Amino acid sequence: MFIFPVSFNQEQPTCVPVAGLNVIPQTGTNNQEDIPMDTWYRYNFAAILFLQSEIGSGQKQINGLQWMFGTSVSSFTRPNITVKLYHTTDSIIPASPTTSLETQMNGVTELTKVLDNGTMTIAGANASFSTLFLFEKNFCYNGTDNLVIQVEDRSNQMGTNYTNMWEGANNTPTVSRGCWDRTDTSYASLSPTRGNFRNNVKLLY
Amino acid sequence: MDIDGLETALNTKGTLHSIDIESDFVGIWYNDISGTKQELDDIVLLYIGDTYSDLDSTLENIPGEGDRYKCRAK
Repeated sequence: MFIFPVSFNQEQPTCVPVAGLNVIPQTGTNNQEDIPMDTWYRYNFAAILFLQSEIGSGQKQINGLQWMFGTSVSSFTRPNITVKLYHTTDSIIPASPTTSLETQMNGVTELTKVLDNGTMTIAGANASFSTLFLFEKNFCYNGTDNLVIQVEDRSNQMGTNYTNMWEGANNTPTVSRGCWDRTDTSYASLSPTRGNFRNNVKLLY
Repeated sequence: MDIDGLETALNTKGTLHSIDIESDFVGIWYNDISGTKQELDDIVLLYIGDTYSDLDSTLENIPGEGDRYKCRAK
């Protein structure tokens, strides 16, 4: 019996090792309730865009992040969350974003579900970064494109009270670099609106 | 800010689920509520607009549950 030699393309993206937590320098103190999610509602969608010039050049292996809590949030566990990271050549969010934002943006590469319909548990305090949200799958940032962090909340669960705020910036560098929506009706009914707010985040890379 | 007046006014429109009064915001949730979103927003602002000018609200028809109004005033 002759066995043909088989050559598998096992080329995997290589990436630099994870070094530590890094703050993207866009700190602000504006409260916004809906990014990355408003747990007063059953379904949420949010996305924020960071420029390469803000993240810095050079490859980075991102495997976690922290959001800055605003007032009132202490902790939550939320199921059915998908978090996508991807490169884009666009520098702003489209004027009419949808929950399929990744199909609307240009130059999208390395779309990675760092959490795929999983549970997000984070805790924190006012004006502090949350506990670390560690990714299930790492994202290799290429150091040249811009970065989108997209959060899809299909949890169909809601808190009984209004308890959400998140801190971020609402100024010139964040204009048109965020979008969000929330609803109790259905995930399909979400219709995100582009805005000028973007969370303060720390990336672990 | 007149929370009692607000509650009385909104009780003519629907069923109170919760009003959360914190140091820097008020969260309001009514079920089976009637009226347009603008009418409801106007009622809220009439009673607490002297304290909170930033109002973010939703009025949704939830299948099987009826109309729900939620707002946050900061």
